[in-house]
Amino acid sequence: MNLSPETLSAFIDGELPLEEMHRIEAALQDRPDLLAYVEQQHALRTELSDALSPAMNAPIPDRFLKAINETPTSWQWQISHAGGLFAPRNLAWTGVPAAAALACGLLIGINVGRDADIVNTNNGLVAHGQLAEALSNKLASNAGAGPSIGISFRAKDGRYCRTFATQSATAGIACRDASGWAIAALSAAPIEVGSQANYRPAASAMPDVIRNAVTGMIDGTPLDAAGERQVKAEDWLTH
Amino acid sequence: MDAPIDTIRRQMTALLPRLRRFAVSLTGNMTDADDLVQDTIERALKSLHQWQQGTRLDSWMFRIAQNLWIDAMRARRVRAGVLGDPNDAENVAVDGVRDNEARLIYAATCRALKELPEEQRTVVALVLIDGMSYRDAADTLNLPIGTVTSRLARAREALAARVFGAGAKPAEVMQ
Repeated sequence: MNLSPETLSAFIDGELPLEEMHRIEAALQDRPDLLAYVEQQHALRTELSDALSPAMNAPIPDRFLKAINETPTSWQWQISHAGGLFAPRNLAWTGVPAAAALACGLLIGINVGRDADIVNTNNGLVAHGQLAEALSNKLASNAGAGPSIGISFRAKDGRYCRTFATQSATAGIACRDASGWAIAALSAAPIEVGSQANYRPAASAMPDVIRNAVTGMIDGTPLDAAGERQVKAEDWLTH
Repeated sequence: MDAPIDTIRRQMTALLPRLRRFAVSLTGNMTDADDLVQDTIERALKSLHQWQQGTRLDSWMFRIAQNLWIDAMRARRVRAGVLGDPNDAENVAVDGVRDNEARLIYAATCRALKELPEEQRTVVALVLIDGMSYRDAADTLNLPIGTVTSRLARAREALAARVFGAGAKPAEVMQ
């Protein structure tokens, strides 16, 4: 039998196929020096574990827990996973003019009307009512009633844009221009199934298509809280 | 039901003892190890989108720790004794109750670990100390499994010789 140091090492760690393990085990019976080495290696493993056990057993410093619980996740991850508990109802689309999709009835359940979140105008779909109000005034960090705001960012075309989810289970991106908040992308939002009478959009729920649209539109990284406040003070308009 | 991030933060918390032990294996002392663990947590969360869901979180974080440590060593040319003074039980023996005999064995083991080349020490930390399979260690280190196997074979011979003295290595392996 040809037994290399690698094979012997893998034997000691139980990393070989069962048949080979048995074969080597039998062959070692005639090699007391190798048997002793194997025993020694098992002892070595115990020594190593013991030597390092204080690191395993020491109390966990508070600063680790603080780091785990307070370090913000990357914005890319936040976009991908916010509201990820719920399977998106994939009525989504991107790259199709919003008005066209609306006309084709693709956006089932979207609330369009005098008190709607989104209205169809000569300039295309724009945010309206509560949604327009939230887009203009709500900071991303604020929870609370009404439409929720995900992230705010500057788009490559220079406009400031915000992701949103409405109470009628619609998620999208709205970008501020002179006419108001133009809807740049729209999708059915993931919704919480089995909730009470009304659908409640998952906080910051963000379907894949919206996330992908953000990735394509964004210039740099999302605004942080201070950046948001500053741009809000300028009514989200680029100067 | 938790949000995904809550699940991940909980998994990270559960991982801390192992991550810390791995960090001590790399750095050789608790002070550097704890800084490394802290940096690893922060780096992991700030680049969480780079973690592929469904893959092992532990392997990914160990890899981050290893890369951060390599960067740190390059940056500050870590003092000659990477593992610190093995006789200084305060370095690792934070329980403070180790008796003399244990301390001696510990010292010999730590010295042996310290004297291994970095690439072998990392494999030892993952397989012999953390108990990962060769496959998982290879995935963690982005190495072919054959490289893990050969580094480990060399490392364990060197360790045995240093911990148990001359004659630990079999006279001849090839038959």
